[in-house]
Amino acid sequence: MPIELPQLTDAEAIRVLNDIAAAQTVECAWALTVGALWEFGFERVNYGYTRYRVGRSIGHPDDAFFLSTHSLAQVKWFHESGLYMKSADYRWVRENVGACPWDWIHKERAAGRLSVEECETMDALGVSRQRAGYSISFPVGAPRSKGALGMGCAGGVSQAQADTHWDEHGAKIMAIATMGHFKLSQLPLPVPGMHLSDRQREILGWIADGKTLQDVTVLTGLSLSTVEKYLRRARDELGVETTAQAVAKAAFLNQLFITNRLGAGEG
Amino acid sequence: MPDRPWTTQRILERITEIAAAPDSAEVWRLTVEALAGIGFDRVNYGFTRYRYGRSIGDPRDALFLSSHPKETTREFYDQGLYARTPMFRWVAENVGAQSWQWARDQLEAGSLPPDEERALLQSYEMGKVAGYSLSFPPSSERTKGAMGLCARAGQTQADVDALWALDGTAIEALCNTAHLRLSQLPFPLPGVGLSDRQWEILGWIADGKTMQDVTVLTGLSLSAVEKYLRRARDELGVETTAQAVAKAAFLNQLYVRGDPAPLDP
Repeated sequence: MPIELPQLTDAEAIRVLNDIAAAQTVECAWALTVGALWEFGFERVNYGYTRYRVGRSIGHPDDAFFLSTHSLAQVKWFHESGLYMKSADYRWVRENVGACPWDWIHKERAAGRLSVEECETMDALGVSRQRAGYSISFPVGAPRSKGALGMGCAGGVSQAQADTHWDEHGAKIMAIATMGHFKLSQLPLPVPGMHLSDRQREILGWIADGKTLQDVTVLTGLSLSTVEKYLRRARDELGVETTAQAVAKAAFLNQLFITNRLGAGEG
Repeated sequence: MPDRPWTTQRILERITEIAAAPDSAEVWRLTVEALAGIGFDRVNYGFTRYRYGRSIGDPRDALFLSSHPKETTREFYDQGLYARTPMFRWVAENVGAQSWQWARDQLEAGSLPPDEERALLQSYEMGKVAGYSLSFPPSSERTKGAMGLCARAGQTQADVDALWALDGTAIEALCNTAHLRLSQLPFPLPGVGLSDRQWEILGWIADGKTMQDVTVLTGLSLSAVEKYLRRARDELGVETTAQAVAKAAFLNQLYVRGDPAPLDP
């Protein structure tokens, strides 16, 4: 007896889209997105987003943002080790926009269309890729940015069964995943290990507004050396060389001029 | 019962198309077409990342899109009348969707300030009789996005409210998607003309290079690099280079052209 895959009605899906759009924090947007995908039978969800693509890579993994319902450590290891660069799945995400069924890689391999390196990577990842599911490569927004999401069904669901489900409900599932991506990538991104204090963020905000260091001393009542110290710490925290780069990075991570401290801290 | 050529399913499909649209012009075309089919044939959209309190900041830094006929609305916009309408105030102070009945009720109760009353009466004269306003959930203190949906001529607010009771949440989802896609894509920058060289140098600065580094990377003299940056600041209307970087980042324009580290194809 095959497992019955669940679904949301059109009207329910629409309501979820608006709920996700109204989310105020990354945590809330993620919980709503995962909850909605679960309603369609996708139990495991991974999400990744970068503003620092360079060459063929996602940039420094520390600058990327990952979420996972099950194995965040594994997702991070996959990217930090650089193994992702050798995988056929990543090649697909890099070269395409849309949804890719998880048996694509098996079919490609059977047809002899994977490189030796891609086959080795697939073997190294082993049985973890046996589930039915989909990878979604989101349409690119700002230059150098890229977001992708993977969602897996419960064990025992076949890809053929998932594909039938997708034929009927794919538009809803895609709309929900994309709305999740839109919100996750536009809310203040909690980057692990990177914590700007309110004062540091305030001073970076003044600099982004075109104030000179002298202006900032007047605006904050701090001495020049104190302002410089805050900026130096902010640069260290953000892992950048110059203040202009700190401003760019804070803007990319949606950390400038944020409304509240929720979601601004550690992930 | 109102005519509903745009079913919820069709709106869902359009949402997916808008989410994948390659540029802001295409997002707007797909959105305007759907809303016109649903019954709103004149639509305004505004988005700023430079909001200060109730002000939207410098209007040149905001994105305005409109499907209203230009000739009839120029006066309304050029004189800033739109910013004095009660719905503009509602949008600035709230998040969500609001029927234009809200303004009508206040007008009839005589509780509008005189300038808002004048602006509202003028918008009625211009045929903006019935509709809805949407105020999008902000992602930071400085950002604000909003949309005004004006129903086609002949529709009363009661007609529109009946339509909204059926399709309001789907229309909101469509508009939410358009807003979030527009705020993710490079903003159109009418009247701002940076050269590829200026963008490239701004890109290097955003990447943490010093002026000295940039001279080495580009083979230009220090004074030439300084001149490019001064012109870039002038074009963007900002005081400092850090501000130019922030603005280019906010408008999703960094690395659109002249990317110093282009992606592999």
